[in-house]
Order: sequence, then structure tokens, then C-alpha cells
Amino acid sequence: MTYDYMTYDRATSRSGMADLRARIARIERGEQGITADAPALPVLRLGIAALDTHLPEGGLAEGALHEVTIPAPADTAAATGFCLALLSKLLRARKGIALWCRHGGMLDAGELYPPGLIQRGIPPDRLVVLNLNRDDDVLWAMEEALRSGGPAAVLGEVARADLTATRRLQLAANETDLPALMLRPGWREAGNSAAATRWHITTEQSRPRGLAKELNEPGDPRWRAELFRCRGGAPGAWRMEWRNETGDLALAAPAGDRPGKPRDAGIAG
Amino acid sequence: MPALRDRAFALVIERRSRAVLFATNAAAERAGLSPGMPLADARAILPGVTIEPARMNADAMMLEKIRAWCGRYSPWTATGDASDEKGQEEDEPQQALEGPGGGGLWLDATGCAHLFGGEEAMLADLIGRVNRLGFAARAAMAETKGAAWALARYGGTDETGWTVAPPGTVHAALSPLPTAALRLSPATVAQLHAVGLRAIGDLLPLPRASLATRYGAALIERLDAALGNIFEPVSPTAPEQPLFVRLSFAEPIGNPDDIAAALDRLLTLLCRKMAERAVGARGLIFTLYRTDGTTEHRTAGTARPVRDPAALARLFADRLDDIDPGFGIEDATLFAHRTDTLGAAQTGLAGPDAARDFDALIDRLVNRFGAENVLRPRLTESHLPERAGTFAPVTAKPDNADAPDPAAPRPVRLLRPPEEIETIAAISGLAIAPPAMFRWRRVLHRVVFSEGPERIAPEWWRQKNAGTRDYFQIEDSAGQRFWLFRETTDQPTAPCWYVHGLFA
Repeated sequence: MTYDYMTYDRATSRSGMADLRARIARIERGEQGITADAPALPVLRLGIAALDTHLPEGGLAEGALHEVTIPAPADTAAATGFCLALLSKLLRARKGIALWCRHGGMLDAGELYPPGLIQRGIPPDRLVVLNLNRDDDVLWAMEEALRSGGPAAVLGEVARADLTATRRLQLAANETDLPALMLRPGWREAGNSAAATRWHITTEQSRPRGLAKELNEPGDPRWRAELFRCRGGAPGAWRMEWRNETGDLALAAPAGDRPGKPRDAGIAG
Repeated sequence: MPALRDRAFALVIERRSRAVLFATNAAAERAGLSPGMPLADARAILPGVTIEPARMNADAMMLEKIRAWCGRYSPWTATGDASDEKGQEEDEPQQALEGPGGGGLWLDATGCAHLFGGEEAMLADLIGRVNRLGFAARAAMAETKGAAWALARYGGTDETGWTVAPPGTVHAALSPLPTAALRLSPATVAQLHAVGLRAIGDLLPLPRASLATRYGAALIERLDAALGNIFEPVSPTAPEQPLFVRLSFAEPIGNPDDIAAALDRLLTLLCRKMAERAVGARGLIFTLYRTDGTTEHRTAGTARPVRDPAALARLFADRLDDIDPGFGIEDATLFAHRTDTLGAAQTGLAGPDAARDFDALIDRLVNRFGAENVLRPRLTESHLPERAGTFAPVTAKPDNADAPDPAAPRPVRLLRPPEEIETIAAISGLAIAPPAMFRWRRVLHRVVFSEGPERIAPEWWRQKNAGTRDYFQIEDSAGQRFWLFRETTDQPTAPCWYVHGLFA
């Protein structure tokens, strides 16, 4: 039996030009010790200018752990949507298959639904779902997957992970330059984490436009994404939408609080 | 049972409401007892005989244990196979008294004897070890299954308890044996006796056609099987030497590190063998033999043929820790029971090939969590949402239908099964309108936006009494999005509303 995959190469973001640009970007940001042969970090650009410029790496560092916290059970679907948006971007930028380690019973919000995933830019032949029931198993599988260097990205649903566990994942992700996402409920205590970025994703009411508005139909899904911890960067919050037509993330406009502007000003860093 | 070795001892079984001897030991046989003899007669001959009821199930289990133990000699082992027992009715006392499984074991020693230094050495080792375990046993090795059966039971084995009929000597070896050695029914043997055909050699010069008409085709079949005119495998297929490697320890081992080291050695040996044949392992069985005759197995499977010892060793990692070595492990074997061709160039999994890394990862995950927990999305052509998108084991053949119509919105999470909700209807001129409010999991949601209905007809050929569903995508006042449906059935009851999924 063979798995049917696309070809596997590192994405174009790792090609010479992109490397060079990333290195220049880092020099421009004033980082020290960037030499011609210093490896540039592969970065996932979210495609939202305000957000990408806010993040210290010019996007989400790929060889790192990113944590998506669900503030309340009602936000589970929104947080899932945010993770899927990141995964679909990663799958577009990288070759290979994404691994989703599900923690049965932790999020009592049904199981992933393949036809819905396709609409969110996750082709069925580029996802493998692991059905697990214990944090330890999820953490083991995530680390194993990251260290193998095989998948395009690794996501794990984790109820509780301490500093040691997240640090292990962060190191493993860094070693193989694989992006790691952790989806965890935030209504339990959030705790410490070694993740590079930590997000709160909250559901927001959509703003239907055009015909949908006339018909009183739901608009594009809208979330409030709060970056509450960012290694080497400042916190911030943005309203974003998943655009069904383009299959991409976009800044929701106009929004209540100004997009791209850090809410907790003064912690820049 | 050493305590009973020197005393006359017999096992007794009840047959047609008579107690009959089932088995006797050597001391009892010297006194004139034999299996099949009524207990009353036996008591008359030897009043002091010790008797025990025969326990067939325990015998069968013990035989099965010894069979597993024999795995150290050959990967193809079987207890007296079913085909031998077929057609032997309960009312043929002699055969029934042969005991479960015919009281014997088959080992296909093809390609295994050299591991022990030859066929004689292998049998000597086998009998020696079985004796040390406390069993009396006889063994024979021959070109055919039938000949080995005959020689083991009727052959003139010497003190050692084993014989080897070298290739080409089957005729000579079988000729002097009684006709019963052909695995014939007692009735046939009695008929043959009646006309003076006592030895197998007596049958050989006779015309086959008349033998067949007079004594049945079974006689000719058994004769051919014993002489090698028809092929009778122990196992369904043993076309070539099995990929089987074995390691014996001078001192029994028990340390987990030693077990891991033994596995590494075996894997190296096995991978070298597989390289010679340009195959890779798809399934492995690692067996450890304890000094007390019990065994312990660990199995592993791979999605693609693998021939890299390190990659294969990882499949067993974490699963060797819970092995209880007992009083020590004296033998270890490794058997690749499933293999696939694997080109010579692709020996290792090392290198930058991410696809191979991913396969190796999937193998590890499957071995640790089970194939049923490592899943890929599967699309099925169906209107029913719960059938249209499911998950299937990653090891199963992918059979995805085309992606469904992208126009209809589908949730990212689906509730299985749909959850019934309380609704408060909207006042609307529409025939089918979404509710104004609904209660799901004790929380009240006020519907703000809605899109629909999307009508999905039941698949009546699959499910009886299924209703027609009208789906709505709705958004509540907090922005939460649900996939609701109303099911209308033929029954006069009011339609029910359900939550079927969550939109991101």
C-alpha cells in the first residue's frame, strides 16, 4: 500500500530569494549577528499586513510552537476555524501532509468534518487525523511527528501541558523547522507555556455584505484574535475574517477597536 | 510428571458409558495395558494401576503451548491438522482415542535445520528439550508429511526418540511399517489385515485401481501423500525459505537492554536476508522463549516494506519494557511473516525524503495507537452529510469520491449523532423557516442570521422511516454558527429540530 502524496520539497519560502529577504528583514529590524550564512527562519505570512508587521519574524515562525487558546466552549468552532486557516496556509506554502492529533472528549464539539475542511482549504488527501484520548499520548505523538520531520505541520488538541512539555515541543519544532500548533481550552487555567505565540480566539458576530445583508444571511465568519503573548514581540488584538470567496484570512474592516494597534500599548518589545 | 514415571499410570475416558483407557505410560504398557482397553480389564490385569480422568481441553491447551514453544525451530508449526480428523466419526474408538489434534505437532523444517547444525542435530535438540520439559516424545523428519507421521509413530526409533529419513529413502523407510501408519481409518486397516496386507510394502506392488475400488480412494491418497507423489504442505504456502532468524543465549537473559540488543542483532540478520531477496518487511513477529517453556510475542506492522534495522527497531520501542523475562529468556526468534518487494537502492529511511519520514512516522503511530486511531478523511458519494464525510484508517485503501458541491456550506465540526434541540418558532410567512430561538445543551441561542433551507432527501434504500431534512446555517447573537436541520417524517408528529454541526 502506498500513501498518495504530492511531492515533498521544502516550500518556496525556503528558496534563495526568500532566505535573502528574510535575512534582510531581520537586519532591518535591528537584530544583531545576522551574517550572510546565518540561516533565515522560515516564516508563515498571514497575509494581513498589520499583523505580519507586528509579529517579530514578519509572520509566524514555522519552526516553532504556536498556541491557540479557546476562551470559552462557545468559541471552540472559531478557534478550530483559526487553526484550519493557519493549516491551509501552511499546506499551501509547504509540501506534505498535516497531522491533527485529536483529543477525544476534551472538546465536546463534534469531530472534524471533511467536506467542511475542503471548504476551508484542507484537501482530504493532505490530512491525517490521530484519534487519541490522553494528553500524554497527544504530546508524545506531536513530539514524535515533529522530530520525524515528515509532516507539513502538526496540530494537537491538549487539555493541559506544562512548561516542560511545551518547551520540548518548541525545541522539536525548531530542530526540524516544522510548524506546531496547539489547540487548548482556556477555560481551564492557561498556565505557563514555551510557545512562541499564544492566541485567544473569540467568536464575533459577522457583518453580512451585499446580497447576504439583504437576505439576512450570515456573512463571512469573523473572529477576534488576541495575541496575548508573543516571544520577542508585543501583544495585540485584531478582528479578522475568513473570506469564503478567496479562501483567505483578511482583516475585518471597519472594526470597533483599531486593527493592528496593540491593545496593551507599552509592552512593545 | 516424574513422580508417576515409574508407576503404572493410565488416563481414563468415558466412551459409550464405559470407562476406557485413553492413554498409558511405559510402565503400564509393560504390564500389558494398552489404550482402548476397558478400565475393568485393566484393573483385572494390574490392580495397582493409578488412574486419572483424561482432560481433553487441558491436553489441547498444553499441546498448543508446546506448539508455540516449537516456534524456536520453525515459523511454520501446527498441531495435528484438521484435515486429518475430518470424517473420523466419534464412534471409531481407535481414532477418537488418538486424542486432540492427533496428539502430534507438525513442523515444516524447510530451511530451518541448518540453524541447528543439520537435521539430526535439530531433532536431537528438540527431543532433548521436550524431555527436559517432562514430556515423552518421538520425532521423525522425512520428505513428506505422511512419512514423518508414520515414522514418528510406527518407525523403529531408537533410544534417542527420533529418526530422519534422508531424501530418497522414503520408500525403504515406509515399506516395513504397518498399514495403520498411513493415517487410515481402523476399518480400512482391519480390512487390509483380513487379506494379509499388513505392511505398507505389501501395498506398493498391487494395482492402484483395484486398491482404490476395494478400499476407497483415501487409501491411494494417503499412500501418495506419504510417498511424496502428491504435495501436502504443513502450512498453506511455504514456497521458499521463510524469513526467519534465531538467536540462542548461552546464559538466559532478562535485562530489558539485553532484549533490545537481541532484537537489534536479529533485525540486522533479518535485514541482510531480506536484502538478498530484495524484499522489505511488512509484518514482523518477535518471539521470546523463556526457560520454563512459555513464550512471549511482540508484533509490528508497516505500511510500506521496510528493510532498515533502525526503523524496524523503532516499531518495537516502548513495547519491550513490559516483557516479563520470568526465569530468563534462552531463545529469541524474529519472523517476517509479511514481506513486499523493495528495490536494492532503498535500503535506509535516512535522507531528506520527507515522504519516507512521514510513512515511518505513520507506521510508528499505527503500531502505538492502533490502525483504527490513525485516520484519513474519506469522502463518500452520498447526500446524507454523516455519510458523505467520514474518516477511515490510514492503512485502508483510499477510495475518495469527488469533492462535494462546494456551493453548499458545510460545517468544520459535525456532531455524531445530531443533537435534538428545543425551538421557538419564528413568525414567518415562509413554509419552512428557521427557529427564532433554540436551546442546545441548556444554552439559549437567539437566531440573528440564517441561510437556507437546503433540502436533503433521505436515502430511502438505506434507511427506513428517515425523514426529509431541511438544513439551515444560522448565526446566533454571539456570532456562533450552527448547522441546524428540521426533519419531517411521514408520521403525524411535529417535525423535530437538530443541531448537526458547527461552523467556524
